[in-house]
Amino acid sequence: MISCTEFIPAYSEGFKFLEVRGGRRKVDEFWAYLSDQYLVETLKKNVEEFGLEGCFIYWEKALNEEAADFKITLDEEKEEFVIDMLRCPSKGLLIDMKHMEPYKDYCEHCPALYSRILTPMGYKFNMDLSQTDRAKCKLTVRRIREEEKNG
Amino acid sequence: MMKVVERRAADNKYLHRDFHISMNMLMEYIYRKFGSSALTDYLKQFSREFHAPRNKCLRKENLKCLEKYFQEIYEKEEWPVTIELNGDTLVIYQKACPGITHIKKKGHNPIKDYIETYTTVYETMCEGTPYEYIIEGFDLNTGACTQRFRRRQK
Repeated sequence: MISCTEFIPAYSEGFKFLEVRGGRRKVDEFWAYLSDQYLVETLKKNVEEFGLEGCFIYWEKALNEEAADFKITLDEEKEEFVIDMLRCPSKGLLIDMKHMEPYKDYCEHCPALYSRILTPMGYKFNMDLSQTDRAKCKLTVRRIREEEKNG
Repeated sequence: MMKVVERRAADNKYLHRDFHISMNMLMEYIYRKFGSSALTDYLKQFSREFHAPRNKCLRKENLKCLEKYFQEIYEKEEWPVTIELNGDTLVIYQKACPGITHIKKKGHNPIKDYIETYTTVYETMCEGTPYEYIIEGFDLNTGACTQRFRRRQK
């Protein structure tokens, strides 16, 4: 059995395995596949139904279940949703596991998975991954306004 | 209007069962793209890396260490099992697999080789040790089974 509590190291090894077999392209293809297979039913459905609040609903549940150290903010006036990840449980676990080497670009799966869903729905997606060595990051999703669309 | 939620890690228990679905998808992807033997290779790679500390315990003939590992992992999963350590044999009885149960509950199908998350992972964990892993009566629908770690038969 691979427990759901052991998934993160299995996921990280999976990325390494795919890269050795088919180069970085295979890793990117897998992230696209996972996004299409899994996030369409969860994140996309929520955003279709509730707009930007769908992001809040999706991540509040996921981050609580993952026991993250986080702050999520939905600013309806600015039409902006922000996750301040103070300690990512996944990256934190990989950093703490001294006997395993994490996949070098592990944190890149997040923007790859989520932007694929949110960008075509009219949202600007940004992730600051500059502090992932300390398991910290920041995700921002903002509704693209009509005037921005028109240049 | 502004909505804010702040949580510390200690506020919640780490139990995101949907990771069973993501795991199943990763295995399905490797199987489809590279074939059955690649899936086995991947699970061996994972086991050699992740279970290195358990492999070390088994090399030292320390089954107690393995018993503790399984007690903790099933407890974290909040999954009822019976674990018995008798001399040189550790037995785990389960009426269903937490992964198969959750994957099905959410409307997905476990990959046909799902049993490899037991066989390949734990046989690899026993590599180079005096112990072997045997699985008996694995029910493909529920994952009910009896798992045995025992001293290798000569």
